[in-house]
Parts: sequence; structure tokens; C-alpha cells
Amino acid sequence: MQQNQDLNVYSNHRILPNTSDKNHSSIYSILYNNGTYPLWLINKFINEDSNSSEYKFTVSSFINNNKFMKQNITQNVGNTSNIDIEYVDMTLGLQTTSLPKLVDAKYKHISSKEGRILILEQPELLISSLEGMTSISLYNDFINKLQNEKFQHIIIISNIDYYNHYINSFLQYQYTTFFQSLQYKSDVIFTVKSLKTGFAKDISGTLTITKGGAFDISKHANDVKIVENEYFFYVVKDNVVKLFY
Amino acid sequence: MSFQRRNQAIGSNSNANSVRQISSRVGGMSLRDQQSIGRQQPVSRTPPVMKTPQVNILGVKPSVSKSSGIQVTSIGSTTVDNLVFKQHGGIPIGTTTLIKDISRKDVKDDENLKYLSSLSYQNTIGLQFIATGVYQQRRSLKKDITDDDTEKIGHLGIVIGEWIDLHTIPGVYVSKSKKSSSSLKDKEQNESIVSKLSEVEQKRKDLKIAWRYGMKNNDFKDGKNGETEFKEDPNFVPRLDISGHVFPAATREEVLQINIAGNTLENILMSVQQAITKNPKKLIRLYLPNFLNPKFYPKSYFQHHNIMKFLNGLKTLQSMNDSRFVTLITTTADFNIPILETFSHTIVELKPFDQQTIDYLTKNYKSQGLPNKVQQGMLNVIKMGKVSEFGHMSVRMNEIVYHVSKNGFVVELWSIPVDAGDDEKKDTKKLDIENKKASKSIEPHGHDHESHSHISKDLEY
Repeated sequence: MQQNQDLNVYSNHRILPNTSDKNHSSIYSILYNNGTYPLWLINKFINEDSNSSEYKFTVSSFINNNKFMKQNITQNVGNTSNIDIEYVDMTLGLQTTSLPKLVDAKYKHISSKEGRILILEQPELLISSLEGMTSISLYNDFINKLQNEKFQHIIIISNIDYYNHYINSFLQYQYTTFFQSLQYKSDVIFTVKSLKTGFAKDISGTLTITKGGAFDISKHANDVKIVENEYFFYVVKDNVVKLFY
Repeated sequence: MSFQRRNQAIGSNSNANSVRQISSRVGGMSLRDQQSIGRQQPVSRTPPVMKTPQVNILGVKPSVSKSSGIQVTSIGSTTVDNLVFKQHGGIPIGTTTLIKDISRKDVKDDENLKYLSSLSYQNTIGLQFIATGVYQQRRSLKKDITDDDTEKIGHLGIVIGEWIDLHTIPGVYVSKSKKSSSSLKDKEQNESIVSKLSEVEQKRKDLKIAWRYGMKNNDFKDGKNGETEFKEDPNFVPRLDISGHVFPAATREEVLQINIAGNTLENILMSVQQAITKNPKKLIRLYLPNFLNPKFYPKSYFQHHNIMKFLNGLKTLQSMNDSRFVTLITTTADFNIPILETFSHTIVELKPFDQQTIDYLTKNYKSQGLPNKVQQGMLNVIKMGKVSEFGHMSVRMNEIVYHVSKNGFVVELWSIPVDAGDDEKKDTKKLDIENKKASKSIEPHGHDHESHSHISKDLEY
């Protein structure tokens, strides 16, 4: 049996970004493809980071409703520290006509962004749901606005099946630029991929951690670096996932 | 597995009581009745224990997976339920299944729009999906099956698309003895010949299979040789006969048809919602055939924000009624858009073989006396409802093959047939196929099949 590995993102064995600098904000992006739904990774963030109780988590998804997210993003039973997780249902947000209004309506109650982490699932769907939407305005009116006013850190979960080199439509172009910009705007990129060859008994897929374009070493104390790595993962049970090399 | 779990739950609730009840009931019955009770009893007993409202819907059973609380219903084909939806034994209720048909790449004139040629596979499975609903609905109205006082609840099928002829919904397979009482004599004669033939075939096939698997018996564990003997449970899925049609024809109460032409996506959603509220208990089987096919769908439907709002609304409706709502969408891959996949829980891809492979298979199966066994294409599972969502790996490529037979859409595990060839040309073809397969599949049993076919080939020489 392979030896279990701990998930490390930073060289100081932390997973979540350090909050010591109050002005420092960051984006994590988790990219996955069909068949490897990565909520277990979020659970690892919440449960395995040593200081996760210092953060306030907000979970918002455009594709899954609150009931589902409450079932799947939870604090482990054995975990003693009290982690603050709030759920904001965004599934009906796809029916909206204006992004600034959506932000105001859904996150009205949030006044200070310090220590807040937003877990945002598939914001790129807004490109399809709003007529004439571009990836630039999606960043400007939605993601940047959230980051400036409401949340210090944002974790974006996106399905890269939309990403395509062969651009044949306006929408395709918008999706592709969205993913390209996301890689520049992120501090850390997690890529979760299923095996190309199909089903295997003891491996579910691979998890790759890479440094994104926005990572600035001067903002981190003690020259903390991102540990770039590639793991295999195997989903043993719901939310029990083994990482190994 | 699930059966045991339920038994424990019953025991924990009122152990002595329920045992007494069962034994007293069993006392006065014939062996046959006992068996049927044994099968039905968990379903009818569960409501007080599980406290889920849907348990007395006919044709619904708990998933074979360990996660509790998942209920499944049949897609209308025993083999699809057991092989494609292997983790559950049926479609999990509250999910959307997308079947996308990849058009045939060997069509010579590329000018021809390919999607027009490949409508039938998807619709076969879709009609079976609806027919199962009709069958369960009719069973629910029969009084004799209510062995206790619990109310039996049926299904409501909703078909969105006026091009589906409801008269072509397949009927339930009637065995020869029962059929003799029916009035349709010509048809009966024809079909009895067919069924005789198929009996002979079946015997042959059994022999052949016994011969083929005899030497490799040890390698095949329970799940794997199951491809020939899935237990048919008429309470869960009827045996359908796609050459016959359901009689009497389905009524509006059984299958509701919503038109596309002259309708908007919002209105369609409204009609679905109305149908749901009108039938507060029934299991809703929603079927969207040929979704977004320009042959049927007008231009305005293609705008992304419209589709998105429709799918979003559908998903909301589904999550509001997640204990009694199943959706099946079929589409052609040419019109597949990523958002459709995002909103589906299960994605199944049908990939027809090219003509060369079909010729090869036909030749070999004919020489074995199994002309009906020729497979038509590969079935790939890309995503599985209530499994992929939890991060489990469920992608299965190039493992399952499908074909449309008299009993409808049938799938089986892919294996290369015994090569009947004596000229070298075929061998090269075979190699091609094997190479293709080996490069794609790492599943151990795939190799079993291959090595096994080698052995049998040698034997034949």
C-alpha cells in the first residue's frame, strides 16, 4: 500500500494563505474535468489546515444548491476546533440580469472582508446565462468586486471542459479567456484530473499543484514558497481521500 | 447488501412484532406467494422505518450502493440498469441522465448532416424509459397487486417533443402461452416463430458460452460473468418488446406530451411544473428527446442564456422534488454544449462502430450462429449521478458495447468474438481493434477477454 501524503501548498506546511497581512488577498483556482468532482479537496482545505478556525468560510455554488453543499462541505466529525462555514445559495443567481445587483443581494450581510474565504463554484456559468456577457465584465463586476469588498481570499472551482483551443464562437472565446485570465490571477492552481485511460481499482486521478501568475513572494513572510507537486489521489469513501505519489 | 441493512432497521424498530406478522402471513401461502412476498415485502415495509415518502411508488428500489437513502428506478432495460448504472442498479431518482450519440464518422458524404442519421438509438432507450413508466402506472391501478393496505403509486411520463409518436411506445413482452388468449392471431403466429427461433438461439448461445467460459471459469468472478444472467425482476423493470406497441395506447394521464413548436422554454417549464403539482405523489419521468436538434427545435432555443435558464429551472424543479423526479435527455454530440453536461448528473456517450468493425463482427458472429449478437457501438460512461458528485472515479471507457435487439436496447461487456477467419486480412483487422482497445483500456478484465479470445482462436485451429 502506498504511503499517505499530507496536502501541502506552502513550504511552511500550510494549505490556506496566511492572514497576517490584512491587505493581502489571493485567488486559488481548482480546475477539474468531468468525472472528478473536487469537493473533497475543499474539505481537505477546511479540515486539514492547522489554522482553519481563524477563517470564516462562505460556500456559494452556481450549480449545486445549499442542501447539496451542506452535505458535502462539512467539518469532519472528529475535528474539535469550531470552523465557521456559511452557505449562500447562488443557483438562482443564474437567472439574474445584473451582476452588481446579484452581489448586493446575496452578500449584503458581509461588512468586513478580513479573514473571509469565499468558495465559489463555477462562476463561469454566468457567461452563458447573461446575454452578451464577457469574461472581462465577469471579473470586473463580479469576482474583483467580491474580492475588493467582501472577501479576502476566493477559491474558484471551475470545470475545464469548457476550455478549448479551437475557438469557434463568441462564447467559446469568452470561456477560454476566462480560464486564461484565471491562471494569471490565481496564486495557486490546483488541477484535478481523472485518469485518461478510464477506471482503475486504486487510483482515481491526479492532483497537480502549481504556482499561479499572481503569487508574489514579497507578500509572504519568511520567504514562504509554493510547493509545486503532483499527487495521485484515490477516493476511498465519500470525503475520505488518500493522496500519494 | 441493501436487503440486509433494511432487515436490521426493521428489527431495531419492532423486532418481535414484525417477525410474528411475517410468519403469520407466510403460514397460509403457497411457495410461490412466499417468494413474491419475500421480494416485495421490504419495499412495502420500509415506510415506517425509513420515513421516506417515495417507498410505495412502484418500480422503485434502494440503490445497491452503500450510501443510504438513494432510491433508484429502471431506465427500461435490465442490462443498462446493471452494467451502465452498475453502482446503483438503476437510475438514481432526483438526477438527470444525458445520453449523447456521437454521429458516425464513416458517413462518406460529409455534406450530409450526420445528426439526421443517428436518431434511432437514443429514441429506443427513451421510449423504453417512458414505457417502463406506463407499465408501472398501469400496475398501480390494478387492485390484485396490493397485497396489503398501502397505496400503490405509479409514474407519470412527460415527453417534450411532438415528433415522438406515443403509439410507438413499446409494450410489455407477452409470453407465448399468454398470447394465445389474445385476439391478434397473425401477429401471434409471426412472433411465436420468432420466439421459437430465439429459443433455439438461446440454447446455442448458452452452449457456446459454456464452452467459451469453461476453461476460464476461475478468472471470472461474480460480477463479471453476470453479463449473461442478470436477474429479471418484473416488479422493477418489465421485459419490453420493442416490435410491439403498448395496448391500449398511452393516455394523457400516463404520458403527457408537451409541444416544442410554438412554445417557449419558459412555458415548457411551466407545464412541467403544473404536471408535477397535479400529481403530487407520482414519480415523474421527464424525457427530452433530441434535445436542441435543429430539426425540431426553433432557432430562438439555441441562445445560450435561454438554454441556461431552462436547464437551471429544470434543475431547481428537480431539487424541489428530488424524491420523485428523473430526467432523461438525449442529444447528438454535434449539438452537445458543455453547459448541458454541467447540468447532468450522469453522462453516457454512444459511439457507433465504424463499418469495418461491424463487418468484422457480423462475419464472426454469423459463423457462430449468433447473428443477433452483433454489437453496434461502444458505450462510454463519463459521469455517474450520486457517485461522481462525491469525487469517486466512475469514468468507464471502451468497456461496454450496445446494440438494439428485439428486447430493446441491450448492453454487455465488450469482448472480441472468436475469430472465424481463415485469411490473413481479418487478422490484421483484428489486430487493429485490439491495438485500439489496448491503448485505451487498462481494466484488467479487458485483457482477460483478449487473451481468452486468443486461446479460443488457437483451439479452433
